[in-house]
Amino acid sequence: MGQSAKTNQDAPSPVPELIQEPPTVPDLLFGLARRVPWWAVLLFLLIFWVGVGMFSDKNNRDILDWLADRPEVKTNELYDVVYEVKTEVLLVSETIRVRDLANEFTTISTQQVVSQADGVITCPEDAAEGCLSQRGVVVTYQDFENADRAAPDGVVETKALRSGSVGTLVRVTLADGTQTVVPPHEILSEEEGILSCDRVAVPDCESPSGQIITFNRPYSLHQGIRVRADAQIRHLDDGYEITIRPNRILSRREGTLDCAPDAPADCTSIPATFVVYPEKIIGTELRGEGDNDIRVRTVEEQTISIARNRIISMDVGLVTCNRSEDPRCQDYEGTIVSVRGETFKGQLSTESGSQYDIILAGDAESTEFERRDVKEETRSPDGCTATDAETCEITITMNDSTVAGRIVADNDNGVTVETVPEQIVTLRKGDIYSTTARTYKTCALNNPRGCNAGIWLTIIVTLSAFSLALVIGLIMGLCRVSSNPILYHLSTFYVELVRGVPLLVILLYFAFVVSPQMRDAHGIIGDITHPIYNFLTDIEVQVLGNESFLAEAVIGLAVGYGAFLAEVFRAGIQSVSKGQTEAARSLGMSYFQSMRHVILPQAIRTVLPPLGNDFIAMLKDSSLIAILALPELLQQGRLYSTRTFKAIPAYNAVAIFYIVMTLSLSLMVRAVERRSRLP
Amino acid sequence: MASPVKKDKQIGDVIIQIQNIHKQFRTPRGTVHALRDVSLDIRTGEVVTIIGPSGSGKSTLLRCINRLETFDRGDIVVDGIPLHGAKNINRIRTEVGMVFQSFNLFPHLTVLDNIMLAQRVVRKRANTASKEKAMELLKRVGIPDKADVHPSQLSGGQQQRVAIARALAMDPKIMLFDEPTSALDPEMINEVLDVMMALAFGGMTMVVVSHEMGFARAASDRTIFMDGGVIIEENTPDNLFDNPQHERTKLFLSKIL
Repeated sequence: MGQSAKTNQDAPSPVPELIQEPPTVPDLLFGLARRVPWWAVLLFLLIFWVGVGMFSDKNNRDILDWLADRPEVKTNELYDVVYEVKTEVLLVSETIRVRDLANEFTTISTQQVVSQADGVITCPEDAAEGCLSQRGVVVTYQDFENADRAAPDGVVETKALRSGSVGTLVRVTLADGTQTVVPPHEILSEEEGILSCDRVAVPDCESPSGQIITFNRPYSLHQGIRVRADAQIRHLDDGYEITIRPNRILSRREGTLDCAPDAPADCTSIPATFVVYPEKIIGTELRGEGDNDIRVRTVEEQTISIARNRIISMDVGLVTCNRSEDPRCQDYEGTIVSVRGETFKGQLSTESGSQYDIILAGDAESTEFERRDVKEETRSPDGCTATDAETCEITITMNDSTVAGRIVADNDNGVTVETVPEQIVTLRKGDIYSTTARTYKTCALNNPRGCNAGIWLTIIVTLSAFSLALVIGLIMGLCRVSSNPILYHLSTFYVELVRGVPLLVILLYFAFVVSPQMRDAHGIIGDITHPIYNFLTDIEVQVLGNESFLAEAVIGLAVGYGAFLAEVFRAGIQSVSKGQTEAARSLGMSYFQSMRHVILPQAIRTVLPPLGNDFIAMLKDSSLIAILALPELLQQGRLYSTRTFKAIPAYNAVAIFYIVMTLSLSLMVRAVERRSRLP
Repeated sequence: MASPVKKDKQIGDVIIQIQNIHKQFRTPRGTVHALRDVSLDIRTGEVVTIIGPSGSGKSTLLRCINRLETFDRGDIVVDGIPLHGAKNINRIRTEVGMVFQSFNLFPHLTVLDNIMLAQRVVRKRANTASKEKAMELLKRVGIPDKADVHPSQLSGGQQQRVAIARALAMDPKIMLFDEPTSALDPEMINEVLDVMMALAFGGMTMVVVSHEMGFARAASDRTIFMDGGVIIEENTPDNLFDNPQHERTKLFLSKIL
């Protein structure tokens, strides 16, 4: 007591007070530098030195574009999309294909159909041997071809054009162009007239005139099993016809097919059926302008015919596409045709610095020509101008040009080349029925999802595979410490099996055994595996734009690493003392509550360093998926090296990319470890 | 240490009924018969001390009461619920608090979170309510200033007091103590025993496995001596310590006193 009293007298206290001062910038830098280990600094310096040395040469720099997926700052090419747009078209015909008891196939029009219902067609008593009754959708239809003339099931009043006679029979041509013969007693009337042709079936048909016969056309009712149904449709704007399945038709409307403006005078509007169906439009979405519209650039083939006398030369070569328009477009082996410029002759109407207006021979109005497209010109009289009204004759020859594409026809008249130019289509948002299969396009800061090759794919694959491996490892690790014998033995089996097989073998196994088996499985197993397979394929298409082994690679890596992570988690859980579980359970927590709140938080702190190691190992092992032809970092480097024979920059760059990633990760793991350490 | 305060509490009905239980441990070297036909009744408000040499089965008996250890035959009825084949053992465990020899605090949580965790996830108390309760209990065990530190920064005695507070936070009807002072330095034993004593005088039903004769004499109503998996002798602490009936008890007491 006395001593402390004495100390109190020595005021002020000899111990200096602790003054909290904010750390200065040099202090912070020093602290940071102390935390970064010397070997990391050394390695980064080495990489920097090698990198600068190598890539200061412009020739070596394009490997960086390859490995980093040619990133751009900004793009307006967002993604490839398949839009289904509600489009109204003309229904040309609807047909049903049926199969009869003799396994003969017949295509009939829906107008001939009397009834359709589920049922069975049974073999008649006098049927040929081997006749089997058939079950399905039974279609009963009017058959004119094989009608029993003596005892028809019915008759249809029909108009036809007389085209001749066979004995007492009359040969007639029906509106659809088919011919048939009519016995005299079926004829109802005959008169001079016009047989109006079916403009729905053939848009620019001509109605023939002559003797029109009206007769009772007999038919017999036949039955068959429906095999398929088709609907033939025509786009009215461009006459494009395709066949679709009738179940894709969204709505029908009865209307009239009006005559074209240039139709002959005797053309009349005729009734027709219009249907709305989801038309597929595939293209690249561009940055839209309106709220209601989407602009899509579609790629559509165009065929160009070139007269033989205009062809200068034809070469097989690489058809290059315009990279500034579409950075990802692929050059292809095709034909490049050099075409001599066409020659036009006419009267010079007006003339300016950049344009000619020429009234071509036989034309009433003038045609514009760009001066820069013209190779040479001759005038008669020489040097005349447009002011010499209606007297200045001019002959211009256009520039030679090249047409590149695929030859689709090559004959005496000339060649026809199919090119692939672009079109920009504006879609109304309200018309869009569905949007599927997005594939992201250009890699840019405003479209990072388009970055999917090289280092980006390595990162995507590593992150997704490691997340999946964490889930697998955690579940399997929990099973490994479970008291349930089934779970314990199953997880042990998995761990021992997978740890005993090389990762490369696992990857190949998933790609070439598991995946094809899932795709081709039959029966109940197929019912389970097909949706999974399709789901994974959809993801692949969305990430890489085509079917690939991406999902197989990610799952293979995850399954392979899951076994190691399971052991890591098991060790972590077992490193937490038994007393912790007992304490948690004695407080009334359930098994899962104690795992979730007490055991796992402690176990994860223990396993962070090995988890970090495994993450770095997986980043490196992701290069194994190059064997599945996925365009990740190593594969891109290999492609570059084999294409250009510049192996040194290629593999140096690959190695530098890997080491920068692993080194940064290693430092990050150290930091996380330091943060999570318990006091 | 022995408190001069006279006990002032009511002994009520039987709350723990141990009926002829047997327990065997199967080890690779053979079977150990840890408990042989043990029967015991404990009433509400009663404080029972169990003593005995190591391996006598006293800790096993204690751990059977909240089924941290299962038993082979017989039954234990806790608060009217038989433990044998009990469906919801977690509900019984919330009514039975337990304090361990090695504290078993959760090292990744602060002292406050240690006490709040089970209240929130098991009792489903709101954050504020459980925090209030935790602070009140920390005041009761005398370390409210340590609420925000991690267990590793506390002394052994403080850790054990936090462990007691953690068990009390569930408002248990019964408290089990498994050698709560054996792992402590001698100078820290008293701070824990003081808390236990206060608890005993407050009327808590307690079963204590301990060799603290002072605590047994001062606070407990009954002392039980176990050896070889059976209860050898059972008496008031004064009678048992001063006037043991059994030869085995005499031998044991002669060695520890």
